[in-house]
Amino acid sequence: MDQVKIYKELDLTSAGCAGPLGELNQVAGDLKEGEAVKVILEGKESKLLVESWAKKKGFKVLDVKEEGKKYVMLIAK
Amino acid sequence: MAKRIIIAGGNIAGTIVANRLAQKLDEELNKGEVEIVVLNKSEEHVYLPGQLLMAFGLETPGELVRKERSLLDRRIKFLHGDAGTMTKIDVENRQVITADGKPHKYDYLVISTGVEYTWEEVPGYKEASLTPYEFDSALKMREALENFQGGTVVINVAKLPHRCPVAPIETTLMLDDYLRKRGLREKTRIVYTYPVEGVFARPITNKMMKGIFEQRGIEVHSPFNVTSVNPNEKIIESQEGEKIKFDMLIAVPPNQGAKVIGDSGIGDRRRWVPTDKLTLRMKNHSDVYVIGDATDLPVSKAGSTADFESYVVANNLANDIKGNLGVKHYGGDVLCYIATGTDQATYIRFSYTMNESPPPPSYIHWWGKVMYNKMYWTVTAKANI
Ligand SMILES: Cc1cc2nc3c(=O)[nH]c(=O)nc-3n(C[C@H](O)[C@H](O)[C@H](O)COP(=O)(O)OP(=O)(O)OC[C@H]3O[C@@H](n4cnc5c(N)ncnc54)[C@H](O)[C@@H]3O)c2cc1C
Repeated sequence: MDQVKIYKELDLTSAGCAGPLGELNQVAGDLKEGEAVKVILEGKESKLLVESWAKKKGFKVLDVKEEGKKYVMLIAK
Repeated sequence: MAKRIIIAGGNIAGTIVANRLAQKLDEELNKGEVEIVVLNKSEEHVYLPGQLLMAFGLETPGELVRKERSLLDRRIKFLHGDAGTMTKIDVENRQVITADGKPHKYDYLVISTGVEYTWEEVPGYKEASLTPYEFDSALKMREALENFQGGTVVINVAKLPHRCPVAPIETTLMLDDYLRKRGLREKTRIVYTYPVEGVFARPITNKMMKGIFEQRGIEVHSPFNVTSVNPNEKIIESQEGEKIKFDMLIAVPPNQGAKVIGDSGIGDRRRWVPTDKLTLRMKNHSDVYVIGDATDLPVSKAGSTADFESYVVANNLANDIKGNLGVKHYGGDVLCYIATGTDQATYIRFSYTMNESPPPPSYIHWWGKVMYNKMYWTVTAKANI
């Protein structure tokens, strides 16, 4: 994972009107090869939502860390 | 030497925050210790939320435009045209360059450059569509709707996030109601297309709105990420492989931050400026604040957001100068009215820590929406509350 460059960190613990997937959909779309977006989420439901979204859209979930109620995920192209 | 505050961009966010700062720094302005300068391309201020009502013939163009000068506290300097159009925001050297070649040094900067539409991201999109998001197109939409005789109307959101996240839902439900009142609903297929699953990305509002869409017989195609539009054949195509033929396409164009943000190298790939979610300072620049649509925060890009943020920015910047006001934090507050027809509405109010709980649609909230619009020029823009 050393070679992955983090393009952006998205704190989606309090997502606004675009919702967690709305924000992520766009930022992930802007990723280049070898880059990842670091996503911070709250709750298991959000984590599952992002995982199923990533699978559908063909993005890779490189890493998932649980930090208290929060999840930190690394998503790459 | 007077401390100079530059407000970069003078529409909704820039105007409110400039006026609020003038109140907070009243004495300093009167004594000449502080100078506030607003830079904007145009000398006119456009109230964008009114464009949605205008597209349905519920608002007149004259109601939506005022001279920016007339809205600003008279002690605030205002530059527009080449003198106000910024070509570079140079945060390293604390200056802004305008199109007349002049550098403007600042002690504090507030970035309020808003959104620009990048239609070119979707080939054929602009030619083929109408949109309440642009003033001239909203007027054309009003005319097209008056002449509409039935067919397929596709409402499409190109990319998220975009300003006024609820506007596509409002457009769809107002259209449904408008067509019913004209006796054309039976002859019209309304298709709503959205980049992520559902009709809206916040779960509570999504559930409520999906229910209303179903009741009204509105088709939902999502996720639908538009890739191109054929203006001659009137077909819209998605990354997911869908093709839909339409008679009228109502578009929400791709949004990015202002071009000057990209040209100045201070934004991310979509030209949003990295902003601290609590202090609203630009990340790594303690003398720069960011407000309104220009931020990279995952909150709604809405006029009400800019209004809530203006209390924080004005207070914290005035505190930087005076040192006795304390620091305020932005709580992620947002308030959006959602029209569910041409005479009914609900609203959502949420923050970083609180979810929305939209009341059932009613005439009372429609009236609230209309009043909010009407009070804009006299109360909100002038920061009178
Ligand atoms: C159809 C529609 C309906 C809406 N409905 C609602 C609603 O009901 N409620 C709500 O709260 N919000 C609503 N909004 C959203 C609201 O209008 C925006 O969130 C608001 O305008 C943001 O204000 P802003 O000042 O950040 O950006 P803007 O209003 O975009 O202002 C940015 C200003 O910066 C200027 N600028 C940019 N680049 C430069 C440069 N290089 N040099 C000089 N000047 C520059 C621009 O010309 C502009 O004047 C709606 C928007 C639309 C389009």
